[in-house]
Amino acid sequence: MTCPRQADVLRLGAGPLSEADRQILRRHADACPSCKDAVDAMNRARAVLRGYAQAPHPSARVRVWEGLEKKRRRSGQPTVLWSAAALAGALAVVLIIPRLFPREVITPRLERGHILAKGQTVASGGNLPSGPALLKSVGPARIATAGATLELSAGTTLRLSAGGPELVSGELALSPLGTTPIEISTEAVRIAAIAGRVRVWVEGEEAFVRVEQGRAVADPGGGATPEALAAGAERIYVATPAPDEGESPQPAASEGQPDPKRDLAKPPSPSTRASNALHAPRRRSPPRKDHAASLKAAHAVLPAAPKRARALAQKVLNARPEPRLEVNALVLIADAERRSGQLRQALRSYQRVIDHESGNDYAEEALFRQANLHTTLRERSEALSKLEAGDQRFADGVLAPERAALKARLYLEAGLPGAAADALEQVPRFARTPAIARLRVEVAEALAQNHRFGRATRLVAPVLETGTDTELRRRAKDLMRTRVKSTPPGSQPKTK
Amino acid sequence: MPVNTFVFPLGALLALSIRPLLSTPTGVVARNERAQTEGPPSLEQLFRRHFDDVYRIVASLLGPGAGAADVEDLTQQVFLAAHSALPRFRGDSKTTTWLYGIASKVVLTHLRGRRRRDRLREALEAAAQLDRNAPGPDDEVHQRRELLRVWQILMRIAPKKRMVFILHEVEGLPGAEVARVLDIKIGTVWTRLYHARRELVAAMTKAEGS
Repeated sequence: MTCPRQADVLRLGAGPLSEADRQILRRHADACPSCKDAVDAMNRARAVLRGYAQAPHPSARVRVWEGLEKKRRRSGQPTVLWSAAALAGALAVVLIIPRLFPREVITPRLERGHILAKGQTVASGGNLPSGPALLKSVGPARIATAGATLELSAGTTLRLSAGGPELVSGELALSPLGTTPIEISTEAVRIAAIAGRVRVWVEGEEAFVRVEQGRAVADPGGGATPEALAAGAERIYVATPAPDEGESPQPAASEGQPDPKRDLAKPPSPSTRASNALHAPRRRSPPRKDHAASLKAAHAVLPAAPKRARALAQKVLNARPEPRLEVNALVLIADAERRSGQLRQALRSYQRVIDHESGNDYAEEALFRQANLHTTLRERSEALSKLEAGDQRFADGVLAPERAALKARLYLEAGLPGAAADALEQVPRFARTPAIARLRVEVAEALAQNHRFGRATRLVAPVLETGTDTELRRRAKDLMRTRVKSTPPGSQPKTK
Repeated sequence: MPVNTFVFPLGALLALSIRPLLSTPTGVVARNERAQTEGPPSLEQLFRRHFDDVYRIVASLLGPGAGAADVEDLTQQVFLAAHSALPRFRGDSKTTTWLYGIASKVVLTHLRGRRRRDRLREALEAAAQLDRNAPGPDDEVHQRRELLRVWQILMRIAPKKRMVFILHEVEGLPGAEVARVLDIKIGTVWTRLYHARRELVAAMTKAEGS
């Protein structure tokens, strides 16, 4: 006959038991014949199984390795072919289709007369890629909007041009978080891809471009005023090269009148460019063109030789240029220090950018960079305080999703899944990058471990709705199943 | 100075053009220091260091009913799976834990086929039959008989429970590591272990009684 305590005896060593309970059970097992038999049977089975240690035959190692090599070679070939085919397909999409259906494909909402104002989205894309090393494999690609062309050339060069003249070119960098995978920053233009969208900052000597009857024409009026927006004018902003010194401004063309002379198909004339300059330069040092050229050169060498870039930018800084160039030089110095591993110095330089009188345009990014640097330096609380400062100063800033995601990661690492979930809930719904999806699942798993299934389920819901990563979807489904299994019977709705 | 921003739909296009080339190492923050400094090991390194471990765990999970060819084949599959998962290996756990996790999944998938399970069972029975006719009593023969008998009982236990039992009782992995290997909660480990023990003891007692 089986002893009623046999179940407890079999739990010995299979879960948390107090020492006292263990002693009691052991004493019982020694005294009770039924339990003693059970323990003996277990021990016998264990001993027999442990005796069966199958060491591989020496030739097995060679056989397995040879087979492995063969299979790897065989499986590698189709992968390369598929990758090449996929890349060719993608290039075809990027290169051919825009030529056939330029605006329908690339800027669908421009066709419908969408107004582009600061911070507005033309169309949100899918998930952006992540994985720094592999971006170098990007083949040449050209993406055109109505007024500007973005070129992604082999290597990591991004070029923005408007109907001919090259506006900006620079290097692509990736954020460690994966949610800002692409960033290009030059003196005139900053481009960053955030949470599935690409944003272009244009500052400095900007020209404004209006889209009329499918053509991009210069719009000296500048800015997206509420009146212009209400009138339904299509407006996009692109940068033009810096105006030459000593040019005289020309009268602005009236808004709504297409001016073929200012069509972006042709390089903008110096006079047009000068007329578009919103702020007259405050000169503190000799030819600002020289400084601009130095900074451009510094940008060009930044990826390959950050120290050289830093030296060039420092030279500009020492010459006390106008504030805008000064802050550009500071940003360059900070970036160069970050790239060359001088993280503490980079932190200080970003702080100088934030504190600079003209640094407001860069402050949000500088704060985020500081948070990233503190994270790398394993200074979690400092990183969080920088993120908080970013939230306070730029509540609806373009980096808000990035900040929320990094905050969630930091809270999760600190063992605070609830706070991480709070932060993730601040991430806008459009921000569905793989990195954020992974974060959602990880935070939800941590919540589930604390039996907070409801919150965990809500958190992973977007992953199940739109997630494409099979592994993440599986983990999200597992979470849902765990919830169902863990629901105590008492919590089921009572039926009469 | 105003910051003018416009946004346009590059995301999807870039994703399309680049996605096939991507791996997933995005969470630099989440990686541990070792992974950051050393990087993931190559397949060759993995194989050289862990072939014996993987072979042994596969053999142990399959039991004596499996032939050497099966064990070698599954060991190969484990390394192939590890090779494709290497870019995602963040170094959060020990390499052996990670490999055991892959091995247990590969073996579970292998055992999912009813025919394969039956083949293993038949092989065990055939081996037991042969042993019964072997001359004895001899220690080695007795050991072998015992092993086959226990394995015949183990084969009646569901693979998931059996796997926990083998990893904990035979391979000596602590409960927390079994949980990591099988990607399940620690509570699940203890529950499965308890049920496996109960079924094993019940079957052994019954067999000895008869």
